Amino acid sequence: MEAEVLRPKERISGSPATAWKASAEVELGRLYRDHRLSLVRLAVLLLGDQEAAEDVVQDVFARLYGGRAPEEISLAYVRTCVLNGSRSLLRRRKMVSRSMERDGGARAESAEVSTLLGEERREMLTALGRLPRRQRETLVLRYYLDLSDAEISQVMRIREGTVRSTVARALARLQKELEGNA
Amino acid sequence: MNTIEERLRETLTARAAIVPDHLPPDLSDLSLPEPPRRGRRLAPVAVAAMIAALIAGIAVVVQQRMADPQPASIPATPPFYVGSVVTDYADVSYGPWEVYATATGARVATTLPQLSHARVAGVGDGRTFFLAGRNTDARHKRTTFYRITLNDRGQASADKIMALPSWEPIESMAAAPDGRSFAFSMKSTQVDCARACASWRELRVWDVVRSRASALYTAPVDKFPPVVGMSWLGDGHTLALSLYERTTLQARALDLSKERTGDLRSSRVVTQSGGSLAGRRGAAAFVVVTSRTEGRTLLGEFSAKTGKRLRELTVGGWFDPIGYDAKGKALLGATRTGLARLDGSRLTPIRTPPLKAGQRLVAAW
Repeated sequence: MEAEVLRPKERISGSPATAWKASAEVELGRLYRDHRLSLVRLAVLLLGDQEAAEDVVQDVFARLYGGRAPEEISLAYVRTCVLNGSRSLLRRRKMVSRSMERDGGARAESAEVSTLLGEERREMLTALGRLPRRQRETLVLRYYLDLSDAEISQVMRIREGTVRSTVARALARLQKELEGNA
Repeated sequence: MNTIEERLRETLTARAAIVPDHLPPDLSDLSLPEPPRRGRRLAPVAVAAMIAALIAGIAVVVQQRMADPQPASIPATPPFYVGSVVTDYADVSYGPWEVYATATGARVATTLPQLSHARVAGVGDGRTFFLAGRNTDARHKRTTFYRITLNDRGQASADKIMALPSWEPIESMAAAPDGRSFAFSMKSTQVDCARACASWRELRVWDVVRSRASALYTAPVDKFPPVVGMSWLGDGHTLALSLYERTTLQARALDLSKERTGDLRSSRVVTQSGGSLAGRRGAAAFVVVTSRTEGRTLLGEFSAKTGKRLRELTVGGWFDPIGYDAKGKALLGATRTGLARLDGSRLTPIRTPPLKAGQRLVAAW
């Protein structure tokens, strides 16, 4: 069953609107400058292609900057938004692919990327792509971003215990997928 | 860590690394109030607007160059700065670091330690700097701190001061005006944890002369907000900090002669603004950006003791303060196109190496 789309916390009212907006913009600018590249790379690992990843990250920042910024703008929050954006895109791809009878998950790597990666890494990414969405996301956050259980829990809005069990299950399944390929 | 985890980590890192460091700057800088991209139908309009802006920008630059073909004379500005060209408007550098002559923007032929994820803080004399970042030895990962001293010709000598046991990220750094100490904030993550890992943030002061540190504040990250700016004020014992706590930026003042340990959030809030800070020479006062609106930057100078706003400055453009000049009157800072000196409300460009679109110079005096 598809899990709920993550919904970052709603904006809390109470602080002066202008100060709030200014500080949110400063923080957004800082996050954009410092983390856009890593966010795009995160989205690439979830989506499989750079163009879509750049679009997702751009949309996230544009929406946050457009006046709908939450009370708590942080890197964890923006990562949550990128996860949401990637999920939405994958869902849209699935809907389109159903009507066209094609696979609508993460896209296959381009020939150029495949060549750069080599056979072993390609196998690993293919196996990773076969995992359920939550497992795939958890592994990317853990092994690409090196996030702790607590940080993954914050980004994915799931309990820390769930993070740990998901990582364990995902690794076991990944192992099986790779053995199946061997 | 077992083999599959190692393979997975290596694969993800390799796949992510195929995304080039120099992403096209297709999103306008978020500090500028430009409308977000709404959809493909608006793309032709956006392209037309960008072309028009580009032509207008070129015209303005040509006009300025014709009116003032020589570099501005900046006698009070320190003679050299240490900088690194970064892409994507980042404020942390992956190197290389270079020494530049302030008057000409020319790179000085000298060698600095090459560090990644590095921060730099200058004493303000244009001769003494502290540089900290990750070394490039993947087998012995260290965050290493250097003191850089420049001679009259800008030739650098680098003294290794100390190294942290792993690649802890340095978030902010400030040098004491006398060059004998520096302060830094860092984030560390407990990595050898079986079940639960925790991230901690610390604020430390390092006494270079005695070669010892004092950890002022250590707390889990949820109780220690990120330090996004730091400046050691001219009175010699006050540290101005810009903290990002939950939703707001706050500039706080920490009296290092009194405060040794405790909760950072109990320090005095000077103003509800934050970001880059520049401490005034010889005084417990600092300048911080109070707002950016309609292409202007508003700066406020505050007393760290009383919190009183001492003066306001309005800049017609984007400006981020780095420090004061030698006389303590003009501000030196970063603009969207390089570096500049701010006298009152007059902005004078400081020469930099050529910067491409999406690049900026992380620099310190």
